[in-house]
Amino acid sequence: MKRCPCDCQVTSETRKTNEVRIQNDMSIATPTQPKAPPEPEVRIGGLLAEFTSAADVVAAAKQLRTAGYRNLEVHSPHAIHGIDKVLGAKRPPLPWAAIAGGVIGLAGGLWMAWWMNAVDYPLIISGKPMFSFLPSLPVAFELAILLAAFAVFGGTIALGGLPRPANRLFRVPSFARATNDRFFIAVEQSDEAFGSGETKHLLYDAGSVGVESIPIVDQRESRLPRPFVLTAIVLSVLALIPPVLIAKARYTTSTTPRLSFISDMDHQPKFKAQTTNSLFADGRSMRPQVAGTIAQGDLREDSAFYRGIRKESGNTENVADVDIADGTFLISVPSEENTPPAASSAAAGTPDWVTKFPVEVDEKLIRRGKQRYEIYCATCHGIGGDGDGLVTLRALELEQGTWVRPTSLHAEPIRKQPVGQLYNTIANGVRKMPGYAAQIPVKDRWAIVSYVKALQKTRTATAKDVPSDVLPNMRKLK
Amino acid sequence: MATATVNEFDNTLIDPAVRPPLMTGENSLGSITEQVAALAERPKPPRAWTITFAISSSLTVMLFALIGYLIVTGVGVWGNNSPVAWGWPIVNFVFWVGIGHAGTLISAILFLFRQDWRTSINRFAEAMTIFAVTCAGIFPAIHIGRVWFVYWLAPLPNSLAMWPNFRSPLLWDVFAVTAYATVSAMFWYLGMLPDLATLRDRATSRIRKIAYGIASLGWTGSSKQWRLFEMAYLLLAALATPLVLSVHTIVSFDFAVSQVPGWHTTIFPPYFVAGAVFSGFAMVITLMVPARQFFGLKNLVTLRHLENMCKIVLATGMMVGYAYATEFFIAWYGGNEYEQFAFINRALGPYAWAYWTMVSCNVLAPQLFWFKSVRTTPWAMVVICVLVNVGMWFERFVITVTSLSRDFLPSSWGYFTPTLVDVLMFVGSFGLFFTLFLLFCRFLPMVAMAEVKSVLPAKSENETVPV
Amino acid sequence: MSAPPTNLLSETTARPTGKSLFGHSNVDYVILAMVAATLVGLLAVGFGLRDGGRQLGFAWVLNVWFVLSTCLGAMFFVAIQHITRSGWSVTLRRVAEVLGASVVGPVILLLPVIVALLSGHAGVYSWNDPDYVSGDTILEGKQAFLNATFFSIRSATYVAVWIVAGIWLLKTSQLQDRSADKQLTLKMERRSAPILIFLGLTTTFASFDWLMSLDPHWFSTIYGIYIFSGGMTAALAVLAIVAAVWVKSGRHQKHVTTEHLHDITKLLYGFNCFWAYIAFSQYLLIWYANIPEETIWLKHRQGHGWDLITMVLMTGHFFIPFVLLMPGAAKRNPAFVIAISLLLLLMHWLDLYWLVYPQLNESPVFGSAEILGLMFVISFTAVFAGWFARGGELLPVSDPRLPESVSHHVV
Repeated sequence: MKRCPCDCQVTSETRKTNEVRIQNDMSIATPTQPKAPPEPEVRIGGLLAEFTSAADVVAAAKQLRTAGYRNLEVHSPHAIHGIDKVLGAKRPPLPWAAIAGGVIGLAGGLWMAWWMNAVDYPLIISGKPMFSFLPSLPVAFELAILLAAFAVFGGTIALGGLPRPANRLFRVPSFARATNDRFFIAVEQSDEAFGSGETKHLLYDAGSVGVESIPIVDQRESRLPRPFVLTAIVLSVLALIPPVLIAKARYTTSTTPRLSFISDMDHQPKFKAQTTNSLFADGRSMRPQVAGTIAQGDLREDSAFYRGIRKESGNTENVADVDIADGTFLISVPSEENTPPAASSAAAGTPDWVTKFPVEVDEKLIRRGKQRYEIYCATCHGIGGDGDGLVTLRALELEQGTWVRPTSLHAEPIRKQPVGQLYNTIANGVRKMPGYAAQIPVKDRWAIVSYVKALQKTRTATAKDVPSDVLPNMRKLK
Repeated sequence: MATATVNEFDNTLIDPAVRPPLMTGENSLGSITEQVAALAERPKPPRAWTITFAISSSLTVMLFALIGYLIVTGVGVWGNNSPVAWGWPIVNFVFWVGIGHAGTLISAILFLFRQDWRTSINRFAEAMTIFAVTCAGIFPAIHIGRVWFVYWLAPLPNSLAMWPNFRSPLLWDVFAVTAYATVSAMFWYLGMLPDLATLRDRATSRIRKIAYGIASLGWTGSSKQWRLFEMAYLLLAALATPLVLSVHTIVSFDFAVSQVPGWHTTIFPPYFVAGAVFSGFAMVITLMVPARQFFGLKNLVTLRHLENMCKIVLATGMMVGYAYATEFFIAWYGGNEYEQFAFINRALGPYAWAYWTMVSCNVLAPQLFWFKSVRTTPWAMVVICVLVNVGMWFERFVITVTSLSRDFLPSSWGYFTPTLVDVLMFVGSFGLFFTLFLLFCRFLPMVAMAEVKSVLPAKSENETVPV
Repeated sequence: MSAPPTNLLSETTARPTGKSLFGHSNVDYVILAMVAATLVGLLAVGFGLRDGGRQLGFAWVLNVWFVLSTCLGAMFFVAIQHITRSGWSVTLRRVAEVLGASVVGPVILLLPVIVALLSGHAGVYSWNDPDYVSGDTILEGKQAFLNATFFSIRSATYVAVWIVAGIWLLKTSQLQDRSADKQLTLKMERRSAPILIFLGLTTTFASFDWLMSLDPHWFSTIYGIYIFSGGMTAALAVLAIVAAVWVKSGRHQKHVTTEHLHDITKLLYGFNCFWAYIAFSQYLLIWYANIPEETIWLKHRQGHGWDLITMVLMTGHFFIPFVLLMPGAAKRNPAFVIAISLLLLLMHWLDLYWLVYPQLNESPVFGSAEILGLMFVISFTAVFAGWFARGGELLPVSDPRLPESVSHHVV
């Protein structure tokens, strides 16, 4: 590297630019070519001058700038303060990136807290407002910092031209000391003031301890090595497989049971209904009710309300008849809901049906009844109660032999039924009609009864039944 | 390579008119590179390293085996049970997150305050931060029980059409710790780029060349890159400073937003931050003293550095003591009987032994740092700093366990006892921490060479110039 | 290293050391006149108050604490600079030292309140009213602490610590001006550590006693730090104003440059963020836990017109300075820094008003007692400040780190 600082035959030393090309494909870090003579050539990419101290390199950069050089770059093992001014560099716009990241993070955090907890999935937490700035600030703050930091980091990488695996400067052997203890100025050949002879001279004059040429490198050689590219392609294709499989699984159906890598609570060590249990003599897992007890909420003393039968009649007394003296369980829990009405009426004669509503009947109840009727009853009985619901019609159309067409609610016997009997029919069913006790709460059953009564009235009522103040308006209703 | 002198140059004596050198011995740009890079380049590590690494990596294996056992069996393997549902895992989490505060503090806050002495220790402390946060992150993650649902912590669209609760401090914690770990890692990596490039340019084997080449992203130290680097470093420092405050603040919110006596007190945020800095610096000293000994870094990490850190430990220890006193006083002053009971129970109840361990280690032990002879005796500071970290672990234990063990309903009172798994997992987390740390010492530049070079006195720079 | 120390000394000693307080005798008269005028005005207002001087009492506590917390902040600043061996701040330290020693002013003004308390006058502090306390279990429980005698003893301790610390820091530094003894720097560094501990404890407990106990039921462990952060911000605002005025006017232009202005403003910026952090933490924790005995204090401040003041504080004390002072160029612009610092001083006053006045009246009241009180306390303290600053420049001319400070550059 020691060379005469005077003007040697810089331009005539070597002609073969090609030789400068270094065979090494691994251009990330070019090893020092041992003892390779420096090869300045006719066409060079520029000049690289070595300095021993920061002060020297700053002074040299100043000189070059004064001499009109504009395309300079200084390389140093540590940051040199004041060099930016010498090189006339502008401040990078990183603060703006940071502010943008911060604002996006802050707004995004607040938006998430608001949209997720107050709009899309409103969640009440210890009486706190659905959305409030105060508890949303920590997350918004963290996101602001995080995104601002990403912006700064990404901005540094991007604006710094990194990652840059290939760099012509790496082909100058002495440049390895740029990250150690030497300072370099790279003058680009594209600089207007560049002239390899004069520039070299100038650099030596400015205190350089060695000036070398920067080789021109073929574009192809600075490409990524082939194995890298291949590996990257293969990996990225492989990486696509899992998301594709997941996407497929999400949008297709399957008859096989789901894969259960972690069983969670699928299999619990407990006894289930209808299984055997060696702990008890009778081997049953489900334990019967203890004699003389009744489950919470099952004490339904108001017979009229719960069964539609007058209590005094004592006709179908519900008794849990349990004898556990000898370890056998005689249980019969004939609650009103699972006593087959046909059986009870056949065995014990006609029950003493209540004839007056055990609940207060008002417009609200009837309207409720109408609504429930249209949900539960009208499918078979029809909206008007004529036994022409959609299910019935369809069953008749299909000529289903097993289908029993429901009796019209306007039929004489039905009209004459006491309300208790209607209630019982809803609760326990009749003939093919199943009981609706499981679906319809007691109060609603009475509501339906009230509506059925109202419905029946629509066919038999006369003008006399209509209040006189409503009557004149009735024609208009048409 | 090792330039440690037998008699250390004492640069802790001061003449107010003259700034003592930040480094001792004859340093030039080249010698700094040589000293630091040689550590990562030597073919065989020192025996102490090998032995320590063998132990710590075995402990790491034990940690992960225990985690596997925990996942397969369930969190019942811990001592956590009603009423103390937050036992050792949360104590360990807060402990490690606290340790992880010194790194960013040294890097960011001391950078903003232009404390140039930080350049010798910041890389070291930042690495420690990242590894401590890694250890910290493990505990709440496995504490959730069904670890495979850990992604439920993040606001990701899911088939349940549910979102996390943004009013929960535990969710804030997820964001805070994640953001902190990410930003610390970026800060650390960005700061390491120039040094990785140095290692790349010095590498002799192809594998090292490729590895450092990829890691250094093609850094050449151009003024453009330095310009961006310096600005990015400043901005990241400015961002990391409020971040580091916020992280332990949010950790303190986990406790303080509740109504549990002994947890709900407004001083918690600054008190936790001071405690975190306290334990973090103590950990840096604990690691730095042996490291500078074994790796011959006494010229770069001088007694003055250690003395300064001891002073910070003393100062933050006083702040922690101040917080203990204020809490106690206000518990009485506030006149709330539950609060009063919680504090009397801390000091005199079944966990009094833990409380007084905490007070002696955190408040009394650092008082020895008033003596300059203690501040400049490496083994003495290691002893005190280990005590400080014992005390800081007990602080979190006292806060978490004493308050929970005394439920509002006396019939629910209990006494927390850790299981063997609890203890071994905590030990294992130290194994993980030291494993990562030893790997760092072995393969990465332990001292921020470029930064040290930039604060090298101009004199030594000129010395390399042949005139 | 632009200017060797000898030049500095000759430049400073060349100035005439007049006998007047501020080097301009007419300023003395103005200040003394202001003190007299406001005192007379204040007394007139005080006697004229219908509520037996209750509002005057609150105005008194508020304004004394406004100045007192600022002086304490300055003392903290000085001690921190010593303990961290700061070089850059040396040129501004004397101003802080003078401000710290001027704590004598507000401290004297604490006396009338103590006298009133000892004479059994409840006035501002309801815990001194036996009728109010009797039957209230919580207040009765606190009587061992909140009683006039113990309160006075404690206050005497705080006052002693402050006066000794403030004057010692100033006098030692002034002694160094004359003797140029480097050992004094080391001495101040050593003593600053215990000084900081005592300052921390006294500031905390004084804020509990004098401000927090205005509502004797309420408590918050962070309160001492809250007052400290506010006082520190105010003290730094004063220093920033002084630095900005000097930079603008060219006085001490060799010593106090834009670089110092930049750094002191950065510190101001940082401490203001710290104040916001402390305020936010206190608010969030109380809001979230929602324990009635704590929340009621904030609830009161969120209605009755206090909500407006809360919003103003959030905006003026934090958001505006936070955004406007963010760019480096803003921190180097003297006029801008003066404007923001004045805003912050005003906000510190308003912050204390927000802490103190809800105990006086359900909704904000503001009148001549507050303004005259403020003017009086400031001018009364200014007399002491002038006295302490007399004869010489406001620079520690012989500090061994002065050359470093002078050549300070923000990188």
